[in-house]
Amino acid sequence: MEHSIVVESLKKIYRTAERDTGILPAVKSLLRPSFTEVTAVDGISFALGQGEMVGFIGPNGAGKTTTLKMLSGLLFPTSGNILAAGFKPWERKPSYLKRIGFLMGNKSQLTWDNTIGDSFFILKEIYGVNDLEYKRRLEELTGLLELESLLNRLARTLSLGERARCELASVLIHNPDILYLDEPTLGLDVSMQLRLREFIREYNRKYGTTVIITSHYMSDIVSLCPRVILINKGKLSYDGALSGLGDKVAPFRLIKFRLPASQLGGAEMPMPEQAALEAELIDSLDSERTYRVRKEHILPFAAYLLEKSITDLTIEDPPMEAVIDEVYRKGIADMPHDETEQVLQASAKPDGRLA
Amino acid sequence: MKADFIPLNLRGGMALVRKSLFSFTASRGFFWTLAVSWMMAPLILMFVWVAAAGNGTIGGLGKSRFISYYLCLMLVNQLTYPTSHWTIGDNIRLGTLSTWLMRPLPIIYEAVASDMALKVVCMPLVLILTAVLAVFLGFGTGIDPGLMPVFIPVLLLACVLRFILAYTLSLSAMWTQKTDSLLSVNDILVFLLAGQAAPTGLLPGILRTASEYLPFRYMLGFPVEIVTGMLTNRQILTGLLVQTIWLFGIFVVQRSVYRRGIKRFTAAGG
Repeated sequence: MEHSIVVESLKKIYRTAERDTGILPAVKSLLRPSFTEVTAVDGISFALGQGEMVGFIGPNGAGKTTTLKMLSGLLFPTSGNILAAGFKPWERKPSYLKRIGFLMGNKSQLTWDNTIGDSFFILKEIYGVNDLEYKRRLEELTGLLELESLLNRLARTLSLGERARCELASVLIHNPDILYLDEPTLGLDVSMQLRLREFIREYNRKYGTTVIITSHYMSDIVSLCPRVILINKGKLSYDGALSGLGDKVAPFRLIKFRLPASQLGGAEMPMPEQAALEAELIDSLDSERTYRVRKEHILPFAAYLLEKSITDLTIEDPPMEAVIDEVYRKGIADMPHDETEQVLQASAKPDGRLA
Repeated sequence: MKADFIPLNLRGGMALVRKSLFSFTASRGFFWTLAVSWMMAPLILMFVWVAAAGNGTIGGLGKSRFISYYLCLMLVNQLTYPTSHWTIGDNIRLGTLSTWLMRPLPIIYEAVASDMALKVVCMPLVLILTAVLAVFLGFGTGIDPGLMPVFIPVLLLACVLRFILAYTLSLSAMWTQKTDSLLSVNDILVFLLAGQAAPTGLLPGILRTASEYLPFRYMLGFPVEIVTGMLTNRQILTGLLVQTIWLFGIFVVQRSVYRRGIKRFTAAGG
């Protein structure tokens, strides 16, 4: 697969001012300011193929947005290499900037006192899109994102959902090859989230645009991204299929069942060697019980339950939110990066430098 | 950061002018009030000098010369005064600069476009008000049309010089976050040494010498002195030379400040 983005040992260290609280330290810091270094991104490597859609996940402050900013050229890396669409982003060459779109969750491309139509036209001119192509794209975006009624309205008069749709359209006017989406559905209601997700999926399928999404809404990631990259404390903790993340982090299943009527009101049904099977009762409501059981213990546990005349036995994967919560709280230990390493080696020049 | 070889993007630049024009037109009342307020200082100073001159002259300038000088100065001041530098610092501090940096054109386009649009919005009002004042006060000395071929390029250079200095100062927000006080110092020096407080020829001793060698006179007073016939050919040539040297020097400094500033901004994050 042709690589759209190759990142190698990327590192970003911020130098930030710090001082103790109080007046004296404040005065002292005027004369002798002290600084501390914060490692926001700590040597991450990965590669994305053309047309891939990847979710960047991680807790607050993990380094997701910093990585996106380095990929887009807004931040200069402390060390490491990036090659995106054949460019080094930090050089910020216009030919690179014309090939990417960066939707920043907290920053707007729209001009407050201009109509949406004017804002789009200005972007069209800045990116040098020809009239015919612009007309075609505007029609398409207007149709897909239902913007028809918004084109003549001032940006400042739009609701949050309307603005989000317009912001998304604004980064697509020039049909970028790579799309960086930083919290694209932030603050939107469920219906609007679904519509934007559907649009992003369709857009990626139609144009083969490489998409990197960061989102704290797991539904965004689950519904859009076959692959996730998990960053925690600046380090890459996981790179692979979303389903694999659950197996890696939470190698357990949820067993749900109903107790037989004879058990209700009496003593709780004894569980077989519960400690040995590492089964944990996590929910109990009337006759319903939910146990968390390690995968390798599912069969003996289920077999025991079936002998006890329980009903409605189901075995489920834990919800993705629970998996992610587990990751954020505990991290992932000794995650191998074999896949990433292989990709990087394949894209390296004979001298070892990235192509 | 290789920003040196970015090709001109005139379409993008004109689109930004259009964007700013629409925004300013929506808030035209605010900007017209600003424009009127910028006319107040020259108007008041004109009355002061007219009163001081009485029926006589000061430094060879009589009442009608002062009226001509200050009416011209009002127009030239409006044409040369940039405003974008007051907001660039805020854009840097608040991180809006990130949005500008994501576009395939340098951030100076935003500043130039903003200033061009503001002049388009404000100049009709300023021209009308100045014409009314000229009629009521009596425009004392005729303007020699023969000086226009000199005046117009000097005026353009003055616009660029005044803009580029203010823009360069505003870029210091990449380091200091807040630039308002620095920009205020710049405005005060323009007021004092550029011919607003008094025609530079009337400044005393060291101030007069300073005005001849520092860039401020060449942003405002110099074109006014040319068009009102206050300078000899030799003085015009010398002034043009000083103006060009300052323009070149500040432009070089601006390039360096921009490169370092962007490097710092992209190192620290926006």
